[in-house]
Amino acid sequence: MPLESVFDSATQPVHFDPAALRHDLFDSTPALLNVLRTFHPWLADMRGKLRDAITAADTPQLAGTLHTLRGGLAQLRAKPAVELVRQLEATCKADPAAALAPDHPVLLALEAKLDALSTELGQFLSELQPVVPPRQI
Amino acid sequence: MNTLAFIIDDSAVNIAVARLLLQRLGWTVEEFPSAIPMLERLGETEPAFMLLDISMPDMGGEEACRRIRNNPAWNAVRIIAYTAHALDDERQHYLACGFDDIITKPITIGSLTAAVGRAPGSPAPRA
Repeated sequence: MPLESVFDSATQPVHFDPAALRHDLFDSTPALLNVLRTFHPWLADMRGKLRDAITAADTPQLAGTLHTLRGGLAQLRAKPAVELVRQLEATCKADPAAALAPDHPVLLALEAKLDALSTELGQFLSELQPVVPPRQI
Repeated sequence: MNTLAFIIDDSAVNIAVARLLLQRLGWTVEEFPSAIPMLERLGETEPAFMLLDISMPDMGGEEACRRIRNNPAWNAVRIIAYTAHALDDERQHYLACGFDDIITKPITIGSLTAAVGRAPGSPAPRA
């Protein structure tokens, strides 16, 4: 099956927008997969850094991590997650001396959103990856 | 003709997207996860331009830009701020710091083409 047909027939995610990202990448499905394969482990790494900063009550570090996370999420057009990150960044900047509670409702909402995004991304990659081996990207 | 471009960003995702787009525009890319190794490399070779992230842990983009602008040998390098946010007053601030232009994330082929164009001598991409 041609690559673009595989993309069209894949389950279209709701937590990010691969069509918009692919459009940015000159409509190349291999280029899209290149970025998504980079994003998946990067997201796991960023979530670890997020948890570390919260555990350490290090608000400046948390703000920096949130900012980096927002840049990556924005590139995937993960708009709901971007908005939650933006709210948390604003909270951190409003009072850098205050630690963000681990059960802050926006933080919990972000965790849930990122869980859903990660699961959805994994499913999307599993549908497309057998068609595009890494060496072709 | 200088077709070399630097990307400096602590996000692997943003580097991946910028690299693909710049290569599509015919640029040869070197990428750096922070400004410190980029400044060391700048002592050896000079790119036509660089995409310089503003918020990075070891050295922010503003400080890196300031160091480059303070070295007369590097005055020809175009420095493009590459950031997740750029309100109007922030744009003016970055330009005053010595940046030549500002691109807001998410970057697109359109915003990148407008800022840096195609590499000199590179053929137009296939449709």
